[in-house]
Amino acid sequence: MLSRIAESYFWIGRYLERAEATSRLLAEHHQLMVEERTVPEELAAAVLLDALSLPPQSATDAGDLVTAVVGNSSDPATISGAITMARENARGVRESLSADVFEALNAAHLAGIRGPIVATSPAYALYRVVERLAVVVGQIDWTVPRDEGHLFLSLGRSLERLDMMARVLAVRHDQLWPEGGPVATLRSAASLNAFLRTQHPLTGDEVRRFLLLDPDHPRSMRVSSSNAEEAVRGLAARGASDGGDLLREVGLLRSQLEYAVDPHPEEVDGLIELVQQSSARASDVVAAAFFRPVGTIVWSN
Amino acid sequence: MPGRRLRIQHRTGYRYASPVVSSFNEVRMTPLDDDGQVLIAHELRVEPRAAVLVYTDYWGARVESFDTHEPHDVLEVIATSTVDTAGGYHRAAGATWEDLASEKVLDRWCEYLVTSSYVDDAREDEHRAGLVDQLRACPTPADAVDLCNEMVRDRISYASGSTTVSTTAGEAWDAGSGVCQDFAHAMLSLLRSAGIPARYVSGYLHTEEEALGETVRGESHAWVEVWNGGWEGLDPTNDRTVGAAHVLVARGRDYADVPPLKGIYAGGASQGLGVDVEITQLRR
Amino acid sequence: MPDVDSVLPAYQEMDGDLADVDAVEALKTVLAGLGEEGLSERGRLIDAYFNRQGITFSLAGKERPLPLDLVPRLLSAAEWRVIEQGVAQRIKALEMFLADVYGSRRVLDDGIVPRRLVASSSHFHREAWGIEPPNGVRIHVAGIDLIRDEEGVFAVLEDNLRCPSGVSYVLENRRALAHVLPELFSDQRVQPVAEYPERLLDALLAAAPAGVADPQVAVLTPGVHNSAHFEHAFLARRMGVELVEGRDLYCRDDQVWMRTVRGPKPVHVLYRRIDDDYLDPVHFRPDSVLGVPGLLNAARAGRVTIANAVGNGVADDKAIYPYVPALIEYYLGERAILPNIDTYDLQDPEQREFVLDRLDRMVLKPVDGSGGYGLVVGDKATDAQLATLAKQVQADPRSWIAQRIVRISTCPTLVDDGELAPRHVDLRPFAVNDGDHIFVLPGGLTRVALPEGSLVVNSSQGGGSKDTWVVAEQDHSVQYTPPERPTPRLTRVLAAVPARVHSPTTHDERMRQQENQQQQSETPQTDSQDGAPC
Repeated sequence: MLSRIAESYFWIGRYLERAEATSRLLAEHHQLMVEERTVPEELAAAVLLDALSLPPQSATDAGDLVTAVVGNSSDPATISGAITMARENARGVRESLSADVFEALNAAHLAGIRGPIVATSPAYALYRVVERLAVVVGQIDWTVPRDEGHLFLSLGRSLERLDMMARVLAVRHDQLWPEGGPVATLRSAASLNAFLRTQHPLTGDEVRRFLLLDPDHPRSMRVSSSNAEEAVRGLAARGASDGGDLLREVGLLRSQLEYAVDPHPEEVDGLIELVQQSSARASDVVAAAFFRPVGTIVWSN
Repeated sequence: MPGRRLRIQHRTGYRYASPVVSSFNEVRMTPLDDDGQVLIAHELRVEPRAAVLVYTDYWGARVESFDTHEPHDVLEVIATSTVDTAGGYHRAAGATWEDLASEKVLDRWCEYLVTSSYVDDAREDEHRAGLVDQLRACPTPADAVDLCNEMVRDRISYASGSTTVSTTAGEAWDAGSGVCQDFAHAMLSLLRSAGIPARYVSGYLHTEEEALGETVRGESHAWVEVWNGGWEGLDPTNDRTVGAAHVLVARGRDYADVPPLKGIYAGGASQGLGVDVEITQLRR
Repeated sequence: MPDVDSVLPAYQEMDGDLADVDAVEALKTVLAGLGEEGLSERGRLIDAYFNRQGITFSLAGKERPLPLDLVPRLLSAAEWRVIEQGVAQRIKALEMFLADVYGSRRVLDDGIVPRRLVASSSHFHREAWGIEPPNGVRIHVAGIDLIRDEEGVFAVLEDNLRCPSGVSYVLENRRALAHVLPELFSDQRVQPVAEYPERLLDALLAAAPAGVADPQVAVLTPGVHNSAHFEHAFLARRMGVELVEGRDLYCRDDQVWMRTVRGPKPVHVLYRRIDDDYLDPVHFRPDSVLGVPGLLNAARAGRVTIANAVGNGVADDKAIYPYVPALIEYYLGERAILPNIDTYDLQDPEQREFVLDRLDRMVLKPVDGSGGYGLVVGDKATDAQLATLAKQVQADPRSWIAQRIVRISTCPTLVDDGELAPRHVDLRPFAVNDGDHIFVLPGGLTRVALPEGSLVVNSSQGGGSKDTWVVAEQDHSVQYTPPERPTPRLTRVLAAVPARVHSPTTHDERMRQQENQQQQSETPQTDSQDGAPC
């Protein structure tokens, strides 16, 4: 597989995950801001923007926050931007991606997040986005060959999922809204039911531990790191190996999460930070090892 | 005029401000094995080392192409050739103005009758337009060529470093000074504008007449060939016919068709290493 | 000088002498059955289909579908034979011309084509001189633009021998039409077009350097922002080869490599859809970031085949075009099957004067233009435009050619109000040369000038397209003859097939009822009389 194509697959994976996770997070965060007016809107908005590494806005209320995070096609840290970038990457690899995936992504991009519904019911509009993205992911599952491209896409998804989960946890809904916060965090991570089945008390600390270490939930950091490791091993088995740095990075992370036994809340915080750093490093290693070694070369004569 | 056996070593290259990781180059430094000139031996050395592809281009020159991908600060090219020079051109039949205006000549030598990268239309410049008229007024094209040689020598004085490799005929004419390349271009411009097919020749000049076995500094040189019922050589820089001391390397419309070394690279600014030509006469 | 002054009516295709009457009638019956409303509905479906598939071209920075007319253009088998043979003949001669120009130059010495026209062609690349393609093919793919004159005769408008585009529309138009108007096909025997990618791949493989056991083919695209990127991706996908950009490739020691996640992989045949000027910064534009440095010399060394070959543009130069019939005679000893349109050499003073005297009855085309840009149709231009044009022609006659205004043929076309009306069309058949055989894809791209009366069919100038059907002759259709002995039925399979496995029933009827009751009992009871006693 061409390095450029692999790179696009990787980023399609990352952006799909980013758009989806950001949509869920925004919908739930917005819901809390509206429902539980105990926290000043400006503060609540600033916290989310900060967690998403978006520039702080002046005079923000819940509506402004939605506008900022839905964003526009030119900023890939926003939902619109992430979808646009996923499509841009898909455009460049259209011939190797299945036509169905591209069509689904194209539809998600064309549908966009627009219209009065965004203002009247942001949650409705955002879950429409999630649905659209689900179609894309479904088409990927159904139609994309399990070759290097798919492995790079999975690796991208796993690394982004780790990063996004760290951002979800960075918001600290439980501290802002002790009542509804923990549930909102779980809903942001689509894991409320899974958590409730564990019979753990519904506290902020328990929720954080769950989302970090649960061995079964597909969005827990532990499972994501294990998925990342699997993708890296799959690539190596197909002859695409960087010599071991990448496997070391993701393997170490996976084992640290796998063997963390009942950590204290402070240890949980430390591990979350570790995850975010490690996933960023892994992403850099991937880029250096497999993707375009240089940017555009400028020739002189 | 009998020819000479000469060994020529041509050394040139570039120095780069920052290491170059990739570079593609073409060298035109092999003397022609044609028209009475005989190439005995030729060797190209490149530093950093590279595999060389050899081919003959449209104009008949032998091109050596190579690429290198080792980081390097300096690219050096050394071409060493041994050649028996022809000792001059056969005298052409001599053409009339009518001959030159015939459809056959106009079509056959069309590339040497029009403007090219370095050679402008002299008629578009008031001063030179008058000179073109004078050339056209000569009884024969051969007379026009002689007159043209005088015109160029009257106007341009030899001054090393006064022009650059990219100076055009018009610019050299305005500057009034230049090197062999500029003399050649200026002459081509006038001749073509007067309807006389004329082309650019690059090569070497052995300056020492009596230096058998001795290695002397030579020059990378340029002169012109004009069509006078056949091609004849003329060296306007030295005001002489082309003879045993001239080594032919490549012909074309102008310098752009025959550069000794050209290439592209990825990296910082470059600086030419200069050109160093050494010529040894091996036998008469 | 030929007559250019009388204005003849355009030839009405599908009503002409050569048309396949049965096929046309069948088509008209189906269209009539749909009615105006039915047709506009299908029209909307087509647009939706193309948009969903992302089959668009970009025009002025916007992506839009190429409008496809619902009415196919029918060519009878007799009409097609002329085109097929004429296109193949022309390409054969142009191949020989290119081999000559980039080799011995005999054709110039013999004075068949003026050397000055070749030497002054901006697409004559001296850098490509001496490069010998492995199987002798330079025109791997050609698109020959044809029109039908007032008499219904197919004539060549121009040759496209560099990167002719549009073949993906031919395939996609067919698919789209079958998708939204399947009933049209029911009574027809249309020659298929879907085999094109296979034919192209075969031709590219046949062009691979000698001695390569398993040649790797790639399609080289300028990138996603190119207006024809859809087609590049389409062809790569349908051929099952990589679609590469310049930055995916590099040359080392005259071998071309592509960067993959498993390290470098050699490329042996490059079907490039990048102009010569951008292909190799060593020999052409040094500022090109789309190309691959060293590519040309890799081809010269015989390590990679560039398809189409570098420098083909000299043969489709509009100034060479008038000489193509002479080239066909010179190389093949045959008369051209497809005539040229009368074209005037504006460098010839007499012809130039003739043209300048009647500019309002001429079409003038810039020699270097394509896509209809810069083209001036005399009877549609203002006096001021014609005056400017006359000055331009006088200043630089080499840059223009002139042709008489041909009322190109019309085909019934669906217009805005749901009616069928005649609109002018041209035809670009696509041909693939594998070195042994020139395959002409049955049909080709029909472009139609949608505005009433317009003769300009280019998509950049408001043109649409039509699916082009070559109707197979009756005796060409496959007859099914039942085998003499009936094939024995396989019975063993029946015994061996395991029972279908289903998931266990999640709910039986009783559970469902009870769940329903539970649900009901949770809703507030308003009528206490129906409620069970506690």
